[in-house]
Amino acid sequence: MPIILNNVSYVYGEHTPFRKEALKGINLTINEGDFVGIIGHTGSGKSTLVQHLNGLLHPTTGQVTIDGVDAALKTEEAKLMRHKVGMVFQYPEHQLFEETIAQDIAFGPKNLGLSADEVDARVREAMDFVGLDYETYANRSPFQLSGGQMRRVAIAGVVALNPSYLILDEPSAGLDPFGREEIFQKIIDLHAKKGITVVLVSHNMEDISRMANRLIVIDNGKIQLDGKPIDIFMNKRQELQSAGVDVPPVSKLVEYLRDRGLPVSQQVISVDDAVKAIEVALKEVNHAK
Amino acid sequence: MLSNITIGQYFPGDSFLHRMDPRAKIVATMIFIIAIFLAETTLAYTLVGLFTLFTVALSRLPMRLVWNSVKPLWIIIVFTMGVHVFTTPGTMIWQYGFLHISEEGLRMGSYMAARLVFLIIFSSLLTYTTSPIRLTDGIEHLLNPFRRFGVPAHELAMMMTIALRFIPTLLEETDRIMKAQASRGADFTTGSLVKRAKNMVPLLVPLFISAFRRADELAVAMEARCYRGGENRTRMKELTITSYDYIGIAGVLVITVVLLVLRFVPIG
Amino acid sequence: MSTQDIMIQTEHMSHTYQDESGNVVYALDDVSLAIRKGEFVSIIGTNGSGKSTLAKHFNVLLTPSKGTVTVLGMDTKDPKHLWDIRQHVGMVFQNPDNQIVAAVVEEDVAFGPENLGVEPSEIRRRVDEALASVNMTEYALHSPGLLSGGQKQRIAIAGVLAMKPDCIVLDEPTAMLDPVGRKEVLETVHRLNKEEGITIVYITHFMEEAVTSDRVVVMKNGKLLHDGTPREIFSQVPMLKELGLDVPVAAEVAAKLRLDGVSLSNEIITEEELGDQLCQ
Repeated sequence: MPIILNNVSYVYGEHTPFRKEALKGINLTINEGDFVGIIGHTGSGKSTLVQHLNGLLHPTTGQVTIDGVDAALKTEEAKLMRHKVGMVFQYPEHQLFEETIAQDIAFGPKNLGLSADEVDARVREAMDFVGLDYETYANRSPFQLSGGQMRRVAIAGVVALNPSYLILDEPSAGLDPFGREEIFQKIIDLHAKKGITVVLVSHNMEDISRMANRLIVIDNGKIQLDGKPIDIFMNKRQELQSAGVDVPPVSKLVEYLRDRGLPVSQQVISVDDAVKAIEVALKEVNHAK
Repeated sequence: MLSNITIGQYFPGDSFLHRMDPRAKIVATMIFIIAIFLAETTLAYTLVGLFTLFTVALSRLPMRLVWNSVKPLWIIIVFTMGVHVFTTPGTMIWQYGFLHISEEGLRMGSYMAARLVFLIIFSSLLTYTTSPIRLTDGIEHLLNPFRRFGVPAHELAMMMTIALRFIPTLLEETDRIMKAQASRGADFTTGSLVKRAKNMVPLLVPLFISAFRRADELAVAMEARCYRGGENRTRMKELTITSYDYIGIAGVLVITVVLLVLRFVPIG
Repeated sequence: MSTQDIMIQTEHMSHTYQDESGNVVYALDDVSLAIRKGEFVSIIGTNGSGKSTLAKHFNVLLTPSKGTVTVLGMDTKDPKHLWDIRQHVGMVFQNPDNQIVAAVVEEDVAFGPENLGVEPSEIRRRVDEALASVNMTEYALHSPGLLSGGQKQRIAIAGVLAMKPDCIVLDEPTAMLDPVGRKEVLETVHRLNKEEGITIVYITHFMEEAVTSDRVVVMKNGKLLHDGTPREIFSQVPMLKELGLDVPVAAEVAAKLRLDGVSLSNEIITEEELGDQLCQ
């Protein structure tokens, strides 16, 4: 069952001088099993959009349904649905508060009203999943960890809710390449092994193009582009640029080489793809000679 | 909701009041507040009221703002009025059981309410027409002579400056943490008072940690910019007393003297 | 290189601290480095490599446990030079929110010169000049809270400029910014380096930013590992990968093509260079 946004608009500060229409008539369906990348510059409305997906914000007009249930309702059913959508905010390590790592991860499952045994099982599973050894880390304070580790604890705290959908807002912000790779591998695993639907908000086109099977570009409170990342990079350069979004460096490099006359295929999403495509192109050129 | 609160807010402008030095404005406000308490007769209250209205006009701010400053405090005003109306002895004009209203009570109640309203309007004019930074500067300068008695004038002013700078940042942060915890099933709005207080822990702990981290980083950044307390510090915008200030203070003094005369010199 | 040309010099400098179990940890280990006046030097390395600790020594926020750090010939351990050094070497930090002191942009820019005891009229002049240098003049009377991350960092840079420094040390100034903000900050810093001759020490983990500098210093575990031109550093693709650092795409593609037997020079780090050699 999908999350469906039906003609959703959202206005901040209605009836004040600071009134701002952050979302304008958004229609969007996020299907189960999708890995969706959302990209847009600061202030494009992407953060406002994702906060609608788990009912943190309710549309000013329009409707959001999670598996067919209106997310704005106050019923138990709607509450359960909202809990199926996990949300990892930017710099999630800033939300840690408990004395031990295990207690912090247990916060969500406890709020769901699970039994102590079930909570414990969820904590162990979540820690295992983000690569933190239970015996070593369970009783440590989260505040003594490195930045990358704290972030993994925070993500474990959301994973422990067993969400069907997981939204992540810039999960790699401020991490070095090692830490970034670590986090992304976990996210790819969540999608591939657990079958969780992932919505990834990022500034980084490279990361999105590598992982997502669908790319949504937001600008000015509207969905400007929606499709396969590679198709968008190949065919929608102009639109991307006007939305203030960069294409991945690899696509840029290929484009540059094509401009210089080397017939490199544009079907390129990774460095390895690019290397192969260049080699093919070089052969063609040599044959022609 | 927060946007409706106008107390302590500054509205830029170029009026007589805006041009006055913050020190002069603070002193004038203090004198006027004392003067209000000298008023005892209807004539005196009318004069105070007219003077307040005149000052509002000098600020060139819309009346709506002035009204906004009084509105949030109406319960206190009505309560004060009620206490005086119902408890002052004198010529009864209405009685029911132990409740009674006297002519004197009615008059006292109205006077007290008027006093409060004038006081609120006059002090909000101070913050409406003075930028927080100038206000802080003014307070620092006025407190400076008391430094020899151990009053940390500069430190207080710097604290106010930083608080003003970081209040919006921390409000934003609060919003973000509340949403993050709500996404983990936290509930900040239902349950008994004790339960609700307990539920605040997941909000307050991260908020405090963040505030301390910010304080720490800010301290380092200030030090890197050569901050070393108030010694030998200069200011880009120096406070200068101009004719506006003399006229302003003189105006307040005149009304004070008139009120003094009305109160202590028998007329007729 | 004569001593007059040197902005900052560290000689066999170490910084140690004790961890909770009482072990001595080397945050910096025997670092010797000279930064010349007018240079644009990037310092790269993963988290925990010591690059931020190193930067904090340049502005006397930290002093070395062993060895020396001198700024324009002044020893940072000598307390009488403290304020002099801090005026000559300004710092910009990672979090744009936590380094702006005042609730109005121009008041914040004035903070540094006010601390130095500069004459009010001179402060006014410097503030206007500094805001113009970072293209933020029209925001002089705004509240910093409503600005974007890139704008806030430019305000922070203006705050440092108003102190008339010879050198600005930026400690991951773009880590929390979006691509637009990153570009704004990098362009501003380059302009200050070229047009006003200000020495720049730029700490970053974005390799595409480091590529644009005159010189790149690589740190690992508190040690200075490599020091060279961007070309010397970024053409060493395996070394960077092993350190856990990103590599400019053109360099990575070139390295892989070379491995597959395509004949390319091993000094390629930009698109243009790759294009020049592939499309003859």
